[in-house]
Amino acid sequence: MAEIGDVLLEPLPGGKPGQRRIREAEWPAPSFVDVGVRGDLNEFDGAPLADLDTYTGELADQKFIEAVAAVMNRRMETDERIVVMGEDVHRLNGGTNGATRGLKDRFPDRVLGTPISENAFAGLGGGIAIDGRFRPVVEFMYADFMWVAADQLFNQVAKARHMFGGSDPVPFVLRSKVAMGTGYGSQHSMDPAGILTSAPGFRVVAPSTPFDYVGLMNSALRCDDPVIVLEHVDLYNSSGPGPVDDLDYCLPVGKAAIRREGAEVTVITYLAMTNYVLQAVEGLGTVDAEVIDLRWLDRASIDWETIGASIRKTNNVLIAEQGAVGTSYGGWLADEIQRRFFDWLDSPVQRVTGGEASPSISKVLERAAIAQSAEVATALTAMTEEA
Amino acid sequence: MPMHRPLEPAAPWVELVVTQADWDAADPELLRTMHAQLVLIRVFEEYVLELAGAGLIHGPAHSSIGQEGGAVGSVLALTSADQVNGSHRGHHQFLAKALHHVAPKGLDLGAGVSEEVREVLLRTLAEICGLDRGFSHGRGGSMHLQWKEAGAMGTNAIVGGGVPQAAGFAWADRQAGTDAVSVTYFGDGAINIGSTLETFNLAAAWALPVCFFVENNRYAVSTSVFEATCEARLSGRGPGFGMASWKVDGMDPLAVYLAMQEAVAHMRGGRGPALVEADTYRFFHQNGAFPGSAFGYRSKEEEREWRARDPAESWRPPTSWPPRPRRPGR
Repeated sequence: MAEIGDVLLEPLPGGKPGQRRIREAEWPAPSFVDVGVRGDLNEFDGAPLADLDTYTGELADQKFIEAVAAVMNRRMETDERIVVMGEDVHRLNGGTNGATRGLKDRFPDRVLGTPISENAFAGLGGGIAIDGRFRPVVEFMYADFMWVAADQLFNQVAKARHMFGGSDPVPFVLRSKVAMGTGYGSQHSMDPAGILTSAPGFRVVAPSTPFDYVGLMNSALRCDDPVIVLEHVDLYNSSGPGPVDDLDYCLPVGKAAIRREGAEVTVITYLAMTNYVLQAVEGLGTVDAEVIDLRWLDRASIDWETIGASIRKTNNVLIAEQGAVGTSYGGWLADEIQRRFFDWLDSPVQRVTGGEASPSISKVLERAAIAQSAEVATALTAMTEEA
Repeated sequence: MPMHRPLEPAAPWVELVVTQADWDAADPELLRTMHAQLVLIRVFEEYVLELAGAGLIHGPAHSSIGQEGGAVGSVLALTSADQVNGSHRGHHQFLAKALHHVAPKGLDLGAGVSEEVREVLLRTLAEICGLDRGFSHGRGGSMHLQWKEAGAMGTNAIVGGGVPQAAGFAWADRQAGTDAVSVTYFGDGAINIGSTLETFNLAAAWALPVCFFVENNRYAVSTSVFEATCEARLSGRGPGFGMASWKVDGMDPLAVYLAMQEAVAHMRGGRGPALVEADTYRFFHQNGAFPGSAFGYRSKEEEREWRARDPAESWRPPTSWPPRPRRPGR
């Protein structure tokens, strides 16, 4: 053993007899510290990329929830590696919201209804992803359940790639529902974006239209990193443009969408808040806001190009989200914007969030706890009046 | 007066006990390999402790000295296609799997140490020291040892944290149409944590070919298993989940091997998961080179009793090679 050890060790210069040190050349380079937190996305080489302006297929008004079920049906049909698991995903005609409709009949051995054990089935999915032969899609019925499965999500899945050397894929997809506004109360109503994006390793996507859902889910399923797809229950029954027959396109990683062009203030938002922001801007009619729907929320995938171009034009930023302030998403983004674009800002970055407490069951208290159009309108008015 | 009908769990729960006759009947090649693995891992672990004592290992080096018999006996019942993961005290689990991978036909120390074996020891040591040559470029260190090619899917610093993933490996094996199984090693401290118990249930419900191998070394740091739970025969957890369960002497590598053979046959036969409890003992404290008795939570006498049954020590052949088949420490 000592002979093997001598490959790594050498006598300590100037030390006592027998004192050793690690040979300098054996240490990893300090520059290796963040290498491989996520992959290099080479799995997207040759991927069928499209966005709303480049999509060549037919578009039609579509119910969001139908796009959710349709794209998973399509992917499971073309990719035998995909396996879906979660509570009741195999029953109730597509789970509690219809998101997995039709899957169990068509792919009985790849749609797994789990016991109520988020930590176990998230970890089981993590094991499948680390094994690498299959691609798990885990569903959390409510986002708050991430705390129940926190060890497997944050300590295991998110860290696995980096911790074991940075080169092995962890193709894990988590579909996490955001249910604020449904009256399910303090333990079922959080927006997890702020917490999830704090974990190195994850990519986080937040689709706000059927078209984006299809493209982002395809990107999530192609990606070799763990990707969390946020699904807001408010959006399930909404309608918007969606693909009629081509369900195979990926949205490019790290590309935000400008939902409204404007010159006066940049509103950065995501998920269901996007529509509330657009409603607020249209409702006011007095503020020429540019509305950016981020779509990709994690630190590695955020679209600085689009954000930067907009800020250079408007010189004012409002970050708008619905959830509670403590776990909110926008804090790190505001910090980053102020250090990147300080010279371009006319005022401090403004934020709209929910209140401090978790949303309650009582309808009026729940509404008061989360931010929607009215809160955005108030903030925009204040910003433009100040100016 | 109400009547009481005795109920029996549906799954079997047995203690496998070997006799000298089993040792006499064992394949000498198997025993030679067992012995070689035990000695290699012991020498490796003693060297790790030496380096830790010299301040050359950053962070804890949880010694597996005393517990090698369980890992060696169980891994030798597997193939390279079978996947394992393990605990924070996982050097022996990792080395047993890696050595079995590079020497699938067996090891013979009399023939010297092969280049492949040397490479495994070197890269494992480098990883434990946090060096670039290690399997994960030194990022993982002592508690995150992974070499996927060998089916060593990663040891884990969260107690019970690797357990659910092993069920995932097993699901993938079955879905891919193979008869491979997975084994997750953990200690008595992990038997009461949610991720472990949740996974017992999930694996049994889905009849997954995963073995829960609990190294009952009687102490979670300084807390004894008798304080931590009312049923300290930890294999007793299995029947409640409908899971076939074995208890075995973890200081006897042949006994563990035979129990594991039964568990593996059970899993490969599609009969669901298995729980194997190996009674074992870490000779040192949680980490470092002092015995547990130095910290006052157990007695020197207890340590002496367990050390007397050390397979690596009592089985070291005094003069001749190969070793005579003899049960260790009885």
